[in-house]
Amino acid sequence: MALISPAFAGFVLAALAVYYALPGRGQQWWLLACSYLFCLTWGWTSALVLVGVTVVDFAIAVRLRPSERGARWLLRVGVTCNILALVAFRHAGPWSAMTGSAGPWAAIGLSFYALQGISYLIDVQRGDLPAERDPVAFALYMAYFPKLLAGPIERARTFLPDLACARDVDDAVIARSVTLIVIGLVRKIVIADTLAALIPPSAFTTPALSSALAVCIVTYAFALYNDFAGYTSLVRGVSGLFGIELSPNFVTPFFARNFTEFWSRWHITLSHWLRDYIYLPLSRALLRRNLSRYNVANIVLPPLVSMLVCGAWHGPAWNMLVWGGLHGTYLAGERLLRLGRAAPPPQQRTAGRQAVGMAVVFTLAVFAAIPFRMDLGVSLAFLRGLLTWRGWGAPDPRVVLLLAVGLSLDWTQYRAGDELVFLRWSRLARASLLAAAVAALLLVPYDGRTPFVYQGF
Amino acid sequence: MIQAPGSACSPRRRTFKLTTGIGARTAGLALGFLAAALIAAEIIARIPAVRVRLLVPGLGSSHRQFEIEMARLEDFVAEHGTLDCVFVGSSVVGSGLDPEVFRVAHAGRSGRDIRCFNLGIFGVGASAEAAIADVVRRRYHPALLIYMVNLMDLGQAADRSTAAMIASVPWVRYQRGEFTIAGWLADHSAAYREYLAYRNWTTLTYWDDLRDARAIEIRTRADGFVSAFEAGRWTDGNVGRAVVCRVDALAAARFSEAALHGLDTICGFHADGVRVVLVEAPAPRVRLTCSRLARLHYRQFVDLVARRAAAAGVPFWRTLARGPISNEGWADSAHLNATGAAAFSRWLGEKVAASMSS
Repeated sequence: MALISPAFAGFVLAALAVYYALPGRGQQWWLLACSYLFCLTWGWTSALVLVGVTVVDFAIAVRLRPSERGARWLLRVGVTCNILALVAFRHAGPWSAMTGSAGPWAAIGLSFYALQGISYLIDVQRGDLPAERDPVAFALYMAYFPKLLAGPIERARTFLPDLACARDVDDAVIARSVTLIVIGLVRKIVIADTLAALIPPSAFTTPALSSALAVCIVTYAFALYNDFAGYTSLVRGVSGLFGIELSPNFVTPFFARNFTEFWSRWHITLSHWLRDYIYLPLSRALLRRNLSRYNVANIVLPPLVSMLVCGAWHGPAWNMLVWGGLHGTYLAGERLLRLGRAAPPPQQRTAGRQAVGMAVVFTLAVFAAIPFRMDLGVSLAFLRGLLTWRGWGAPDPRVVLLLAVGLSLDWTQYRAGDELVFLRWSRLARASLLAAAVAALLLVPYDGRTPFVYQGF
Repeated sequence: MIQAPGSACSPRRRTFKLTTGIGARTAGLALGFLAAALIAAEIIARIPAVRVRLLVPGLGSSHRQFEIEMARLEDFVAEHGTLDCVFVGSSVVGSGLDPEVFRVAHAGRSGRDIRCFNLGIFGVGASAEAAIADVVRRRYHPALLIYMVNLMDLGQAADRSTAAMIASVPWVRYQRGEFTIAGWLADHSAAYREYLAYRNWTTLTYWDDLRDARAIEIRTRADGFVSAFEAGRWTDGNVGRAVVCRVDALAAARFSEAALHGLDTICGFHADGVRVVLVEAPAPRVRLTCSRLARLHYRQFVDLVARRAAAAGVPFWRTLARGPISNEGWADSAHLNATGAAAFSRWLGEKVAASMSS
């Protein structure tokens, strides 16, 4: 069941109608049933893998005692199970490479809930979180349908306590949720899909035969961002209607002034996961050997390894590793440049320096998007194309218009420091914006056949 | 409010509680704005000075030339009040039958003026032609319907590729008695029709499509005739002969059941008070020199049409045996050029006049 479809809208409305009428415990059972029903619409394999991973993680976690000697081994077993499931059943995994398609072995959302399972087991083993004794609550943590397809990657230590709380859905919550849904739809349908449709397919398959390659890759970067940000906004809005708040994943990343800031604004739940479970443990281990602030290994390795893992998570392919390696290099380079001198935080720099920082980060992020989008051979051909005049044609006016719309939306949120700044506008302005958004959605033909990009990861 | 992640819980109570309805007021106001914008768009789209600057209205099909022809037909009927006769068929008709020459020839023979519209739609087969003819019959009540049938109309390839393109369009279904909201909107709202004309603005090939559509608009006359071809381009050489004979062999080998049903549908309009005439589309003389098998296939086609026309009580006029078109009248192996179209239209106009007077 596609998220942007009449079927999903009907599914959510039906789920809400029953949900509001149920008492607390019944609500969890109901949400779990809805989540598995939603999962089943993506195939039996998806549901079976979800059950399997959930049962294994739940069973291992209740046996994990932080103080016990065997806890580390049990944790390793649990983490290995999640990784094995990820390798065997993920959408773009080896099965699909062998069969040539996603096939019957693909398990939707596995990349995301497997990370949730791993973080849960580690937190329990560390003693940061008691093992969840309620199987319904834990199963819901893993399967909750608004976040099942592509996150956000929630943490058990925030999600599970929230489940136990009363959930209030009042006017303000509905206004926030509907605003998020409308923003999500505009980002996905109006901006992302339209931009993606305006990129000639040959640009990313046979760049030697294409022109205006620079415009194509910039357009792709904006399409990708708006696609995933639109997805996140949409599912957070839907979840809000159930009174359950999901974590934000994007905060105007193209206005980041350095790469550390970029990764605190782009796919936030994944970057925080990488920070907490790879970067910081590795950095602590390296610092135990050498506490010096000039410990180059500690400066370079944690960001590089974290981003290489990030690349591998996106897909077991060399181009993804190159993408991750580039971002790791950017982060490490940034830390090396700051070494030995006190740099003011980005927001305290002059406007000019902030703008330069934004331009540099944006350019390098778009450059890294080349191997993200294409395999290495095509990426090299693409780069060769960029070195010729042919690679630098003028953009289509429609691309310019859509980029302007997307950037205006981002700029408004960035300036206010609030993604829901529109709710603070006057009613007349809010209504005008809502009418404009609905009109834009009506004016863009949507065939529902373009899935969210991150559903594929 | 939503609980902040990790904050202390309050006792569970009712989840859903609307109080002030602030969101509803904003949504209501937004709906009002939208309604106002739609009304303004509708008014603007109906202003003649604006209309001439916009694309020809769409109907929701992916066949732009069909939409342009239907728009021209609407204007034609609005200008003349009635539609005496309509020519239906494929591009063979579109560029092969000139209503003006036909009118003059008809008037010369009968002394009566006749207003005809050429509704030849590029690339369509008999299924789609039947749907189009049905729409015209219901909407404009023509007295005479001339269907110029050629062998390709009944072949599977042409029929299958265009039948869905035309017959499944909501506006066409609406015109044929099936209610659809999109069809109703396309029939009643000028703004919606303009939206349909521009709706593909997000496609990669939009500018090219727009240019092509503009070119077709320019080439399509007010009476539907498409002046598509220059005179005397095609030469009756070996290549042309090979094309004609191969097309005949392929098409006749696979007649489409749906297309034959379309042919029967058109013939059936005769029983509903429309005078229907089937005319064999003219073909180059080289057709007579094709292989025995190709000639056999062509013979099968002619016999098939003749049988079905006779069963419905509809006349079927042959053209090939008479060979009204010289080799200089062909634009390519299937389409007449301006010279050929004039000769053929004259011949048909006189024949229709003679037939009516008898």
